[in-house]
Amino acid sequence: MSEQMTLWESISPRYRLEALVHTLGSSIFPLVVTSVPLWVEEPELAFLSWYPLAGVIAITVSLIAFIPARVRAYGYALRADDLVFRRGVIFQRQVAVPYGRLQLVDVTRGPLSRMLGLSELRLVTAAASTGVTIPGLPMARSEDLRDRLIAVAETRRAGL
Amino acid sequence: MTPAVLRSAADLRGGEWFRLHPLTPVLQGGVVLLGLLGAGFAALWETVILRAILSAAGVDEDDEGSEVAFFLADSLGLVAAGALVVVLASALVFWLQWRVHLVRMDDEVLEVTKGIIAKSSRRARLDRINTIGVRRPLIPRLVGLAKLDVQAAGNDANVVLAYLPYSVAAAVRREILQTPSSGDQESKPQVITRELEVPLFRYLASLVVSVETVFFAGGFVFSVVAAVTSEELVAWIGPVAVLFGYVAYVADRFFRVGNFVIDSLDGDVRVSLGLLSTSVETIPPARIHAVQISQPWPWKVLGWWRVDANLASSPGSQNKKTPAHTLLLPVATRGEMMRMVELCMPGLKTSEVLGQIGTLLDSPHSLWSERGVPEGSSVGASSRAKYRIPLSFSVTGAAVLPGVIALRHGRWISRLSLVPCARIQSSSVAQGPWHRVLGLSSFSVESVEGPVSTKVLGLDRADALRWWDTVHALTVSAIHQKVTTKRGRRTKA
Repeated sequence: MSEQMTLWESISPRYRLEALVHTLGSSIFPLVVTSVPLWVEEPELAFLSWYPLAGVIAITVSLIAFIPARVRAYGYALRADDLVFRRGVIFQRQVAVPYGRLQLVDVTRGPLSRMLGLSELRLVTAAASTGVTIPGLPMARSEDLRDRLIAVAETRRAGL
Repeated sequence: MTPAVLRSAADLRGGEWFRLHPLTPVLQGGVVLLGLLGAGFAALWETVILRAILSAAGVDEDDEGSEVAFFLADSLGLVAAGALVVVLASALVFWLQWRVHLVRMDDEVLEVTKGIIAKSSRRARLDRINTIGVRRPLIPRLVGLAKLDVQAAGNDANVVLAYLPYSVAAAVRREILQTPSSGDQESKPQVITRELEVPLFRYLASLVVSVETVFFAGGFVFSVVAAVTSEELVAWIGPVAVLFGYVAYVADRFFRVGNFVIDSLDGDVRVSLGLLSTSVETIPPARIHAVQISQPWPWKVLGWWRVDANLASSPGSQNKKTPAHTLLLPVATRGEMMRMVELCMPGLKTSEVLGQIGTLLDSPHSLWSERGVPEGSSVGASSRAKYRIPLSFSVTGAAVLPGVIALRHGRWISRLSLVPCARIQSSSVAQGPWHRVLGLSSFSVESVEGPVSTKVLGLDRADALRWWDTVHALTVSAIHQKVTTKRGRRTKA
């Protein structure tokens, strides 16, 4: 197996639904705030009109439109010495975390992801900016990954 | 059996319980009481005390004060007696607290108990102790006492010993650091070498010749103009406030960070700073995860440099009052700065490498343009990067030094970050929309939290990816090396 070849694994397409709910959920507050001028008939607020609301709706719609691409952009691969992770459509980032640097591997699942049978894998190193969180993994897959990563990290631990 | 007062660090070895210095209750309680008394005096002066003195002297004033004030003034002696009782009672409490504040140390743990009603006892395993700082606040310092701040691994696992005579505190510190469990070397005497001292005058000058001064000057001019145009006397408060703020800012920095001294002891770096309250911390090079050399533009002519570091679990960050020890040199000449880099990264001790660092600082573009000298050992920003980082594209880049990754960027504030391969947590390549349009990428290595910036922008996409592989391979091999040496040591023992 050559080290140069990186076989990216993608995350579950079911994560699109979770991302959709998250996007809608986080847009509720801005939507409510910007719709104030529509249901308060105050002449002094007239200058606000409906532009902010239109802006928020446009942003939300474009975020939703990007969800499939965003979910497809997530990828990870277990290589010989490290885990590589990539994400992002407009702001892309790919990061390589050597197994020996792993301090903690977390599996978290919220109520929604539990309904979808998904979970989130978070890798923690000594640097907060490493920021590797792989969402949308099937439960069995993330638990298997966690156990494997911990086992490998144990044999190559270099600590700090 | 009553515990004795701790007089010398050698006594502590035996595992007996000891008390701290008998002046402790005075220092802990006395300062507070003094403050209370002062406040009470100031509050009562006008209405009560002055009046009492005046009436005693026979000067009768027209009564404006309330009857309460008169009553108080009449019974001032009673009030003073009451205050005295309170003072004595609290002195007793502080004294009792001192009596039950005990410390003990054996081969494995350092244990501290305290409290009369709410008892607490804290143990720190000696082999888990990260750093020990000797802190000397102003008033204890005047009577020759110091505080020992023992930081153990884990959150909020520190033990504070306040107060001890300074010599005892320093000796206890040595004693703890030399326990067999915390290091495998025999207890040989430590060799302390005075490495660097930042002259006070240079430090003051560096505070004045700074970007902050320019900001303050700008604010001053602006507020003067505003005051002149408004033609009101009140508006002159603005410039005065700016001036006052500037003096306060410089004085604060001067007193907190002045008197900066670097010692080396057995390869560790010891940082001492503070003009009135001093603070000392010993940093083993293993805790230094990254070093940054920087030079803001006002210092270019003077040739001064500043050195910062990212430290693993720096205890200073928990407490806002103690200055963070991530600052390793506030202002240094070229030679001092290089010496500091040597101390922090013992692996770099060759003059050739220091020469390379010099080149990276002064004329990095010469390094980028020398393509292929040692293959892939350096990479500069692409010429297209001038549309993304117009000022600094010619100085931005990265280079591999033996065991260390060097990242160079910044024109107004020149920065060179040095990250040992063995400390890199992860490395990443990122690309925003603007980078994408230009076919560029940024590269960064991730280090523990701290002031060092570890990211370079504007590399060619292909260069960045190649560089990512290079750095990554170096990191992995550094980890392998470390694991094998660790194993080797363990099997030997």
